[in-house]
Amino acid sequence: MGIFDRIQSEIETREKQEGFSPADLLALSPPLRRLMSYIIREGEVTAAAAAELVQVSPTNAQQLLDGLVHKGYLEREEREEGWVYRTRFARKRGREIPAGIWSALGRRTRPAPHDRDEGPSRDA
Amino acid sequence: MAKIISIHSFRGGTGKSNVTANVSAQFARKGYRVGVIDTDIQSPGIHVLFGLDEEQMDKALNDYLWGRCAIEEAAYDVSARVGKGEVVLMSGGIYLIPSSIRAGEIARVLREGYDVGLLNDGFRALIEKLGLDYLFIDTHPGLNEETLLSIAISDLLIIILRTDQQDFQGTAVTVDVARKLEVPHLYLVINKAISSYEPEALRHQIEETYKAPVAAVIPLSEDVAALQSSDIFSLCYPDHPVSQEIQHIVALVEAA
Ligand SMILES: Nc1ncnc2c1ncn2[C@@H]1O[C@H](COP(=O)(O)OP(=O)(O)OP(=O)(O)O)[C@@H](O)[C@H]1O
Ligand SMILES: [Mg+2]
Repeated sequence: MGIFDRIQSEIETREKQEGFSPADLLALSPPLRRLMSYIIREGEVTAAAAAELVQVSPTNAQQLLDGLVHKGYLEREEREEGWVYRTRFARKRGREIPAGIWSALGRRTRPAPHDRDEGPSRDA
Repeated sequence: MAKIISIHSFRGGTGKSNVTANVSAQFARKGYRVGVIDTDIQSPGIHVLFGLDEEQMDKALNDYLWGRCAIEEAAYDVSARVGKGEVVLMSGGIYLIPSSIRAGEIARVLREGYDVGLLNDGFRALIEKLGLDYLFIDTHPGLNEETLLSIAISDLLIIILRTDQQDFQGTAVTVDVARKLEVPHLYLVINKAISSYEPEALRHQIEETYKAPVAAVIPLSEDVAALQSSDIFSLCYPDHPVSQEIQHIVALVEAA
């Protein structure tokens, strides 16, 4: 299998997702990881630039990039010079601060019977 | 073209902020235009080394991430503040983009997360708007979104470790990640090296273990600790052994 087919089939097997996270890079094959890293570093790329990096034809590069758009990894925009692709980053999610944490801290210094019914995190 | 340099360690308190501040200040002293960004949003600290306190911090990286300002508006020219103003006399300038030290701002990032794409665009915007030669990224310890992003976009990564078994293990993880992300240049820095190790033997052992070059072996120093991060050590004590090790890092980064 040539490089195009390999990357193409890898993209096909990947789940669609709501944006790309830097941690996702670690799960990709080296050629696809190289492509995604390159786009992250450059900010935006054209199919021609991606073609040069991956060593495929511009038409094939565009197919790969469009595949990545379809999976939610990239977004594209039409400009005078043609389609330009950027990483569509997933928002860094906020952390769930466990519901009982403040009252749990309080409990260490004084009993707080009123937070008994606060929720499941307490006795977990 | 501008170079991006990330300073990372798997564990906390290894000396990332101190090394970042020292190396970046030395680059400014050489006449380069240097940016330093504190991506340690949850536990920022490098602003202290550059003499910036909360009242003087009108805007921070957080404001940019919330869309309240352009990233260059959160950049402070700190060259006059460090090493008794030595940098400003000799140089191109050094700009710090601090993370907010306000509890409410830190809590908000933890609670709501932020737009990673905006952070990535911000790095490039800084280089362009401030006309930087070098952008140094001080990071949060461990691997998270910001550190992985900074490693992925770096031309050069410095991983700091101490002579501690916990650091040894964690460093292996980070080196592995850096290799996967194909960072063009990877250097290790041993900091707080205890005197019972012979520096050359230690360097050799670490290079063998990680198959990566050691840029410097910085001794554990009471003098560094005594400065309490209140200034840039290598500007204050240029002839100190610690400062000489900093110069080794500078030389390797400049040559990369
Ligand atoms: N070579 C050294 N000798 C003695 N003390 C040092 C040395 N290097 C750094 N320190 C001290 O270690 C402490 C931690 O340093 P620093 O804040 O630079 O680490 P850090 O890796 O940025 O920490 P964090 O992970 O919390 O961001 C500081 O008090 C600093 O003065
Ligand atoms: Mg730090």
